[in-house]
This record gives sequence, C-alpha cells and structure tokens, in this order.
Amino acid sequence: MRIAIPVWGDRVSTVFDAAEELLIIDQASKHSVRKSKIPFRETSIINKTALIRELGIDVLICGALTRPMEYMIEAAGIRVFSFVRGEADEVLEAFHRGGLANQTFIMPGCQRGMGRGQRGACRRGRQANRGGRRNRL
Amino acid sequence: MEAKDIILDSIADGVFTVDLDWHITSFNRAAEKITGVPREEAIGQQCRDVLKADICEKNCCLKETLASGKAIVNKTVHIVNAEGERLPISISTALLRDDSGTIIGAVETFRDISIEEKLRKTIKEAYSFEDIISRNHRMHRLFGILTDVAASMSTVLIEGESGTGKELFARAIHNLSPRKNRPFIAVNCGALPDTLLESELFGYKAGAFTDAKKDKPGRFKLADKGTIFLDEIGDISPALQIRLLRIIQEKTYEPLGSVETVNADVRIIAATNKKLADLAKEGKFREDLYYRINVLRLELPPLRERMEDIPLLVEHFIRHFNAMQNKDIAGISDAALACLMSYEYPGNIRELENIIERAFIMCKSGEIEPHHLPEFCNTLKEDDQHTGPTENMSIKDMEAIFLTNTLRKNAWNRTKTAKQLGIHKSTLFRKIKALNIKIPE
Repeated sequence: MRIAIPVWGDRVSTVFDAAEELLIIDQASKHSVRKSKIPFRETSIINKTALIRELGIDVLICGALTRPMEYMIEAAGIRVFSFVRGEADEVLEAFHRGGLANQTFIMPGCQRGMGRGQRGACRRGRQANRGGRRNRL
Repeated sequence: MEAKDIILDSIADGVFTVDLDWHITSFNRAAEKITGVPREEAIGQQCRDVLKADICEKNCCLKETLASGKAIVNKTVHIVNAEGERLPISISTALLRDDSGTIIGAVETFRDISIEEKLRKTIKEAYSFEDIISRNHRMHRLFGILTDVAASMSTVLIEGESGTGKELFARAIHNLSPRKNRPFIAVNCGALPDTLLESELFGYKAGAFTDAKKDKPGRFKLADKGTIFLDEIGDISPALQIRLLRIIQEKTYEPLGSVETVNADVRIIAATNKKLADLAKEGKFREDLYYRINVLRLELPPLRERMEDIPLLVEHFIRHFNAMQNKDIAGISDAALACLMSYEYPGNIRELENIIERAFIMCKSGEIEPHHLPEFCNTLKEDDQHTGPTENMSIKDMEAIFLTNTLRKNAWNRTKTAKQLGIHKSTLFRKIKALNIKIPE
C-alpha cells in the first residue's frame, strides 16, 4: 500500500493546496515500512493532483481539501481522508488502527452534523475510517 | 452571554482572538458562518485548524503581528470552509493587550470577499480550470492533459455542443499557459457576416473601403503574443478559411487594404459545436485547414452524459446567484433536484444556469422546490417512471439509481461499469455495498 500525506514539517499540512512536501509511505507489511519525502511545491493544484496520480498513491491523508479536488482524486481510484490534522506519524498510526475518526485528528467543523445546507463536506472522509475499522495491508 | 460576545456577534465581519499559544479564545457568529465551524468547536483550538487558510503555516499574519507588533490590514488570503469550498477572505490583525499593556494575544477580523472575486473574474474573465466544476471521468481526463495542452504552443480544437463550456476551457488553457499575461481575445465567427468578420479578424487600413477613415487593428493584432479564441469556426466561409490557413501556416497576414505583411505571434484555440471532420468530409470545410486546426483536440461531453455533475453545478449556481443577487436561498430540495436529474438539457450547462436563475426569481426564500422550476423539468420521461428519480428521493437514492442503471447498461459487468464511470473498481464495489445494490446472479 502506498500512502501519501502532504506535510508541513512533521505535521499534516493544514491545507492541501499549500503543502510544500509530500510524505510517501510504502508499506509492504507491518514491519516493512519505507518513508520518503518529495517536494510538493507544484504551483497549480492540477499539477499536484497529477503528481498524486503519477506516484501510484492508494491512500491520501490530508488537511483541508476543496471538494472539486477531492472528487478529482477519488475519481483516480485513490481513497481520500481529508480534513485530518496532527503529527504525520500519529495520523498514520491512527489510520492503520481505524482511528482517524477520533476528534484528535478531525479538524474543527467536521466533528458533528450541522444544519441543512451546512452539512460539512469535511465529514465525508470520516465515514470510511470510523468505528475502529482497521486498514490492514 | 457576555456583553463583548453580543457586541462581537453583531459585527458583520468574522472576528476571533487567540492567546499567545494560538488557541482561539473568542469566535463570533460571522466567523462561524464564513468558516462553517461552530463556536463551541472553535474555542480552544489552534487557529490554523479552524481557519484553514493557505497562509497558516508559511505566512501567518497573526504570527507576524505578534512578532513585529504591527497590524496587518486587508490582506487577501484563501480559506477552505467546512463545506469544502475555497473562499477568498480579506483579513486584518492587531495585538491584544491587557489593562497593564502586556500583550496577551492577537485579534483577527476577516471578511468574505467572494462577491468581489466573482465580479473581478467576470470583468477580467480570469477563469481557471478550478472554475470548471466536474466529477465526471471524461472531464477529469481532460483536466489531466490541460497543463500539457496549455504549455504547448499548438493550435487547439475544442468540440462540444452549445453551452458545454468551450470558452471557459479556452480561457483556462490560456490562463495556464506562458501567454497568460498577454491578451485573450474571443471572436464568435458565427455571429458576424463574412466581410465584417474578415475586417474584425485582420483589421484594415484607412481608405480600404468607404467609411474606413482610419486604421483599425484586427483581433489578431489585439491578441499579439496572446491567444485568440475562434468560436464557431465551422461557420466561416471558404474564402476566410484560406486566409486562416495562411495565418496558421505562415504566421503572417495582411490587413484589408494593406500591402504590408504583418507577423502574427498568436496562439489559436478554435471551437465548434459541429463535427469538423464531418464538415471536411462533406467538402464544407477545407481539409487542409481542418488538419492544421486539429492538432490538439478536446471533446467536451454534453451535460446529459455527465449527470453526476448536476448536484455540484446546481450548488455552484445557487452560491453564484446568492452572491450576485444578494439573496439567501438555502439550497435545493431533494424533490427539485430529482426533477433536474430527470431532464436532458439540450442547452447543456447554460440551460441549467438559466433554470436556476429563473428559480431565483420564483423562490423568495428557503429552498428551491419543484414548483420553482420550469414545467418541462417536472415532466419525467415514461421510461424513467420505474428507474429514474422521483419526488421524495435523497441524493443517496439517486446515486443508487444512477449506478444501477449504468450497471444494467453494462450487463452488470462491474469492471466495464467502473471503466465507464471513470472510477476505480474497488470504489465501485464500495459504493455497491454502501448503497445496497443487488447484482443479479
């Protein structure tokens, strides 16, 4: 499985568009993990998306992401967990144990249902990683 | 509620304060509305997680103010709100001090400037690919090659029915290209009589014909080092086709009445709602010109072949008309959306936009309902009575219908269906399971 996390230092970058580095995690098994960082300063969002596709990413875990971008990335068969915050290592660990729905990793505004018309697109990504579902290799 | 909270809530601008560790200590109602983050979720959080601005990490204005002591006024940044929309906001910052003058934090005020940005875009026509809204796989394939198309200097042919967004695509290509700081000139070749079109395109010298009192530069001259967009190229006369062929081949032309040859450093993007290849076969369009134009060809799908985009486009137009008409329409009801999903849109996106504009006249407040839509939207086709959307359906139900129909058309073959929809097979499997779609054995 190839996981990508746009980062700022050691943290998940707050906004996908603004990320300058992409942390790539190649995980063949529980004990075989290879991490690398590549520049992610592509000026346009379209280039960033194209790069994600070209890198053969299976899962993207990122901060705030606009809906058109999320649809575009999902259309390439990539699972997207957006509006995630925290230290990249902790986020990765939470992803594997199915714990990304924990409030620690959810950005404010995505934590509970809002009124109609304010349903919070950022809640979408939570569904697949809720209830302790593990993401095994 | 404290007096300061009441005062803050009465302000139309978003206001929040932070302590010295960037934790939010107050958050007014306008801030809730703009960011989509409820106050109770915002208080105590790091401001970057709440505001979600593109400057938070690299050029944080609050950090700058706290470091320098200087206020920042009206800096434009972009945030992503809880709806997943990218919003332009204008922010200002200042220091917060206690009674003894000790710095205890900072305050940030911000204003949603979406309307101003929309107007600026409309005036400057500075549309980018981000203005093209789609989750359709054919559109995404086009997005995928857009950067390369933009970087190349080759002539582009955009084919698509009227109202599919050919000019928007052309502008997006121009704005992604190295020519983006030079003019983008659009000409509708079908709207002008032949002689007038010729003088419009190439310009004329004084005395070239009666009333030609002084030199007039043509559109090719105006588009110098930029891009010219020739819409409805299939409608031009054989005589003009020869002149265009020359300009593409030799990059030169002569204005009417001039003996001097002018160099044309212009990138040509042509568009048509006809099949240019068919016109060429029928002898109505020069084959040599067709092959010169058809270097990079983009085919825009009609809206009826990207029905999954309708909810997105409707939302976009509602936001647009709310901003432009200063209204507060909450959205569209599931029943009204089902009506829109049942229509075929011969006029494509332009027609959908007109339908929503009409609904804005009929709907005074609340949500757009079926009776705010034109009569023809409310008429479901006979075939759709069993398999199409009906009233009281949720978006989830409609997605299930859409997927079931597509699966049926592909003889329940999931691989073929995923390919047609442009989604990964595993994504389709997940959707089938989540939507509880029964696949016949």
